[in-house]
Amino acid sequence: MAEKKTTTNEDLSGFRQVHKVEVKKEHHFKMTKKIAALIIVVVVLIACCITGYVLTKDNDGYQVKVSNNKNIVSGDVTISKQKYFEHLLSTSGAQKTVDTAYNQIINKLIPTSKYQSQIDQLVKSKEKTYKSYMGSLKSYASAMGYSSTKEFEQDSVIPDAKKDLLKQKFFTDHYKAQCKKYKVAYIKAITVSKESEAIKLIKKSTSEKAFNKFMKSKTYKSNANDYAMVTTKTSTSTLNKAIKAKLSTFSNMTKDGVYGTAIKQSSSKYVVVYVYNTDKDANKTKIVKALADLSDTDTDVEAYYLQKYNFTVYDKKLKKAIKKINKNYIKD
Amino acid sequence: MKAKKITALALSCTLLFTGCSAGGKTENGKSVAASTSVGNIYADDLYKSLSSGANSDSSLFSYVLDQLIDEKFPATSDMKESANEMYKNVLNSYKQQYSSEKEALSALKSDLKSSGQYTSISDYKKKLVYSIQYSQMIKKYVKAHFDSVYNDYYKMATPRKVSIISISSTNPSSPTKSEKAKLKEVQALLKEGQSFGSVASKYSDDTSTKNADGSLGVVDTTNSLDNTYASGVSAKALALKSGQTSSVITGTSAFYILHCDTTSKSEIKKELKNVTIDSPLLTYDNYIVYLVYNTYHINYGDATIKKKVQAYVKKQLAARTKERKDK
Repeated sequence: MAEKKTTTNEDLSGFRQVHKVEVKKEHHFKMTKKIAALIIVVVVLIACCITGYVLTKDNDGYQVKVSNNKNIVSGDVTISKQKYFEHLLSTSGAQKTVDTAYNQIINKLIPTSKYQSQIDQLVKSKEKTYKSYMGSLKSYASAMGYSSTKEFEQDSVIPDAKKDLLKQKFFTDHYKAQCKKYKVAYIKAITVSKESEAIKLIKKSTSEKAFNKFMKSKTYKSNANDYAMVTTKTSTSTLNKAIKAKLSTFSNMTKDGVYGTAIKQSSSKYVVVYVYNTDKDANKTKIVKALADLSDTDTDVEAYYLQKYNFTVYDKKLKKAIKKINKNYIKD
Repeated sequence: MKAKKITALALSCTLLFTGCSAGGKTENGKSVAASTSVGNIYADDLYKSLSSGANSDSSLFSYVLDQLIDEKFPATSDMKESANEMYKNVLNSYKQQYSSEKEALSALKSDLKSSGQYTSISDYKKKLVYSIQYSQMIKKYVKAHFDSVYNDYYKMATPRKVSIISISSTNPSSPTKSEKAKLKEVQALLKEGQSFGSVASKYSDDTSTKNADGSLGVVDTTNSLDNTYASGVSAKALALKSGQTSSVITGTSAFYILHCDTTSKSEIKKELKNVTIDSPLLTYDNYIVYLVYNTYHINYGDATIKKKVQAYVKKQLAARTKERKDK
């Protein structure tokens, strides 16, 4: 088979040689309109690619431009409005863009007209807290860099109050999914030195009342703790790693009661855990508030709404900086 | 005809392509930074909110000042070299505390980051260069306004020339016999009227001052003697009258005796006449930069910017005046 193929090739090359000798081909290049157009297209496309590459390669400038660019300062030093804008963008532009986008969403979902009384209530409570820090709201606002309490209220307190309300709305609307995500559970625990002692406690803790009695008793008082609500966001400095590892189980419990196994800690001590408020529907208001109060859930909620409302950043440098704050703020 | 069409199309594509790459998104002639399905975030909106609000006046002033410094006192290779030396000294002090260079560098990086002022070693080096540029600007002003600056310095920083004798002790709360004897001998010599300088040059254990007859040079309210020697040294140095010798100050690794050589305004002035980058006249007044700023020719092309910068500088200078009235 291979032999046959070789013969055919030899035959063909022979034919070509003969053909070349015998036929004089005239290859005169003729510049037709079509060829000229094709050359232009190719040249233009190459230019396109080079320009695009040059413009995007190591481009550390901003594409976004401020209107009415002019020199805002001149004389011994010249500063243009665009230059100052780019300085502002590089110092806090990414966070400000996120905040502006999020505030747009907040204002749509939490319109002041509809939520006025709740906003007022939250503003009052926040201002009371700030007052307690520095004696007066004016002093606190001044320490935060605001020239008046009114400016502080408009720029910070009211937006924060509306942000809190949106968080509450989020956890109310997505209650079950969020309880599952954060593995919400209410627990109290007693730590003991021996496994046998822990098992004895588990057996005797037949009700919350009985467990509470142990917690208050002289023997266990100093080693008992009511953690209230715990989640995946609870720090391991508050909640022991070994207990945190069981959050899923606690969160899925549908009846209040003592967890049937003594949890061994790395310190070789044993923990007996009582799980309560397991009826998530009955405790919805309380749990929603507690979840909304967790500052660690802020970015998750922000990312959810920013993605839902198609947060898009057109400036490459700004986008990169925002992704650095939180990669989930922007979809792509 | 067909060829012309293709060419035109290709050229439009080029313009469109290059246009998109350079300009970003615009709407109604305005640059759009970002958007949500609720609406656009225009560059102008961002500029407005970023340039107003909390601390916007101080950050605007700082920015204008930085640009002015860069323009008038640009970073030179000498400045960069000096900054590098400063960095090396800091790193060396870390190396003495840690077992390896890697550990020292990592500790320095961590300390810089936790200070909140520096993002990295290179950022730190950059700011060191800037601090030299800044000092050059202040130095130029101090040289040009030496008398007024010195008069203010003398009033505000209570400068004096001070000398020190240090007697080392491994445990000053329970000194050894020889340590006790050395201290007693120094006290006796001073009591006998021996000059403080000669006693310091013979008996002081402080290697950095011993060869200069114990002289610490000019000491003022900005001194860091407590860090160098022991807590209480600074207060004692500033409380002494001209010619007065202090009682013994017990530190953690030595005993100290201080002597105020002079508080004479003219003598100290002579000492500080040569204004260098290390001159205390450059650092004693936190508000001096606002005086310096006002000596430059600045035009404002924006009324808001002008109002903001000028109001901020005025506010700081008012605080300076108040500080002097309260003194």
